[in-house]
Order: sequence, then structure tokens, then C-alpha cells
Amino acid sequence: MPSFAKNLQKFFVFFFTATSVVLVVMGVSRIKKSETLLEAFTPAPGSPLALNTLGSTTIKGDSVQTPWGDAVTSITVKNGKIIAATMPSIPDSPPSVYAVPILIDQAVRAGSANIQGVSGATYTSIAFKTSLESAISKAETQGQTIVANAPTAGSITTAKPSVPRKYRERDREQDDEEHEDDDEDEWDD
Amino acid sequence: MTEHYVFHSMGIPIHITIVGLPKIEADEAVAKAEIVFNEYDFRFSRFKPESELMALNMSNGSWHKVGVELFQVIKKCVALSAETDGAFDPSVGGILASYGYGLPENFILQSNPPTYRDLAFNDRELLIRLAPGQILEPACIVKGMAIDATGKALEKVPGFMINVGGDILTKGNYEGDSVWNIAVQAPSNPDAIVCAVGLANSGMATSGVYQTKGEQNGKKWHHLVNMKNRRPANGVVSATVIAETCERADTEASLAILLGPIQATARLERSGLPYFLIDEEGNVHKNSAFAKLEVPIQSLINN
Repeated sequence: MPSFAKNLQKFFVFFFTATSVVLVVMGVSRIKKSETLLEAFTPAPGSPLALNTLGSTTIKGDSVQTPWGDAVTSITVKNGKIIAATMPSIPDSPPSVYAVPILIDQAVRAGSANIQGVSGATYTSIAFKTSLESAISKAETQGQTIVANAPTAGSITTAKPSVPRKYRERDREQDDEEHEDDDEDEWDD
Repeated sequence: MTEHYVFHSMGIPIHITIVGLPKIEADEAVAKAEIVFNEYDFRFSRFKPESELMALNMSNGSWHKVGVELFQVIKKCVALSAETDGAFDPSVGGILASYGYGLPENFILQSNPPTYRDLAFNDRELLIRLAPGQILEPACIVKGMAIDATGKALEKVPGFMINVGGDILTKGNYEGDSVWNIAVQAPSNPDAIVCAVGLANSGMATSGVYQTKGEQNGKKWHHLVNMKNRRPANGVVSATVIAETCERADTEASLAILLGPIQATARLERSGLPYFLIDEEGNVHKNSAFAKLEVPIQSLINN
């Protein structure tokens, strides 16, 4: 075989080997990258951040089933870092986009709410009538006098108020014997 | 049979509902609960000069012997600080005290206050050494711990809800085998709610920047301070998390506020815990695990 053909053959062998090695390395690194991305899967609010998205990639996450349909999150990646993420948007779910405050005070006062507690309510957990009533009856056994919706005079107060401040203030506006103690909400977080 | 109790401990009203016990046994259970809360208050309060925590806070840079419970609590706090790269830091006590919130009184913050990295531990002797001027506040995890400990004390009660300033632990069922319906308070209005879930055998906590706040020298503050920049955190105004324990729910809810929306959702998604966040614009961010537990509010108030 002429040496030229031999060299050409060598060249081709080397060239294709090198090319395939490069391709394999690229493929592996891509797979690796997507693995770490999965780990760092970061759905975050779709805040309109001013981002430099040059050279970035947007990747959609798996869709997750919800009672209202499938939710999909996407992340934007640049140089191996997540620079943006969209929250899983849940289609047609009641308050999925915007927190709509619904007044419950009236329902609670009327005793018609089937709610046993309110999370995040600092004033007290009491969110329904029966509980309020028991609190009042307990307060009364401790020597307090509480008359609903009527100012009371000369009531006896104890050091540890048992009725939530919210209701105390409303029901006993005239009572100026409030305690400093009442203003402490020490363990909020 | 359903009994409701309200008593006062740790500076706030504590509401316990007991289901399925005769009144006399329910009374006994609640008396137990009250003891647990008072013990935690006595040990970990930054509002009582005689508490074990305050003795530590006043130990001024020297080695101080503490009980194993307090030792573990501070260690847990430090672990959380390391996890969040210092966004959470029990040294927040100094900042809160400088706002006039809790002891010590008239506390003046140093210009470069100490962090969790300045704490030293002697594991064998249960000694802790604070840096000079360092004030610790572990309330972020202690309140949940107290609620969980109370839950354990009420092991034999078929169904209960413990609600401490809006952090809730439930067990079993409410009346008629129904789950406990727990609403989430609207950040803007204490008389309104934004959603409700059916909760069974879980802890649920909502942290909000609206809860404990004030103003000092014309600057507004609230109690959730990102210790990286030592400013009250913003971005998330209300964070609700549900977990197997109230401690975990409470901790994760507080961290969600401290970390801000992007990091918070990343952390919560990794944990897989049901969560519900409201950002500054009023947008809701929640996962499908939370959505599955949700109960339409209208079905709860129109009956």
C-alpha cells in the first residue's frame, strides 16, 4: 500500500476517533448538566427580573398533575446557573394567581363558618362562635365579667386574660383596665 | 364531644380543641398541655429576665453552662444558619432587642454585630460561649417544638388541634370524622382569609411580615430579619407550610420569608412539603401538594 493511502487511513481513523470522543464527551456533559439541573430544580415566581438572557436556555420541567390540570414549571439556565424560573401555574384553580381575601369575620360571628382554626392569625386561633363562647365562659369562671356588645364597668380583670384581645377590645371598649401584657406577641414567626 | 380551651402562655393565647374525650379527661389533657408550654416559656423566653435563655444572653462572652435542651436548640439554630448561609441567624435577638422588642432593655447594637459563626460550643460539658454583645433568639424553632411536645403529651387524645398564635398541630379528626379545616389569614386583613385546607395529623404554620412589626426612628421593622443584610426580609409577605411536625412547618415558613421568593420556592420544592406563598404583589405561589389539600372557602362559610 502506498504510504499516502496509509497516512490517509491513519488520518481518517484518528479523525473519526477524535470526533466521536468529542461527541461522547459533549453528550455526557449534557446529561450530567441536566441531572444537576434536576436537583436544583427551582420553580420560582415569574417575577419580571431584568435579566441578561444572552446564551441562556429555557427548560421545561415535567408536568405535574393537579386536581385542576397539569402544572408545568420552566427554568432559564445560563452557564450552569438558574437565572430565572416560572412558578408552576395551575390552570383554572380557584385563587391560583392572586390572593383574594375573603372576609370571614361576619361568618365567624354568626357561627356559620366550618373553620376550626386560622393559620397565621396572631390575635388568636379562635375563629368560630362555639370557641369564643367557651372562652367567655372560662373567663367568667375566672372572675371576669364579659357582656357581649355592651360596655361593662367595674369588671374584674385577671393577670392572664383568657379572651382574645380582638374580642376583648370590641366588647369592652369602655374598660380601661388593660394590661401591658396584652401587647406582647412574643413568639410570632 | 368537643371541648375548647384557651389559656395564656408564652405571651400569647393558646387555643386547644379536644375531640372524643369526656370533659374531665379533656380538662386533664389541657392541664398537661399548659405545663409543657409554661416549661418552654420558662426555658426559652427572651421576654423573661429569669429564663435560661436570658441567663445565656447575659453571660457576656464567657463560657456558660446550659441544659441539654437549650444546647440542642442553639445547635439546631446554628445548623439552619449554615444551611441558609446566614440568612437565618439566632443572633437576630440583638437586632430585635435594639428595636425594643424583648430583652435586654435599651440594647444598642454594635456596628458590626456578631453572627452564628462567632458562637463557640463545648459539646462534652454543654457549654456555650457567645461573643460580646451577642443576643440569641431561637423562637423560630422553639415555638414549633413546644407545640410538638404538647402533641406528644396529648398522645392518648383521639383528636385535637393545638393553635398557638396561628401555628397549628392537628391529630385525628374533627367532629363527625371530618378533617380539620384550617384557613390561612390574609396578610392585609386580620378578618379575612385567603384559602383553607383540610388538615389531618400534621403541623401547619404561617409566617408573615405583617405579624410583629413596629417603627423605630422613622424606619419600619418586622420580626423576620434577613441576617445577611440585617434588614427585615421582603419579597414574600406570607408563607404557609405544612409538615409532619409543627417545628418543621414553622421553621420552613419562617425561612421562606427570610430567603425571598426564588430561594424559598427552590428550597420548598426540594423538600416536597405543601406550601403556599404570597408575594409583595399579592400573587400566590403554591405547589400541587398544597392544592390537593385545599378546600374551597365558599363551601366552609355558606352553610
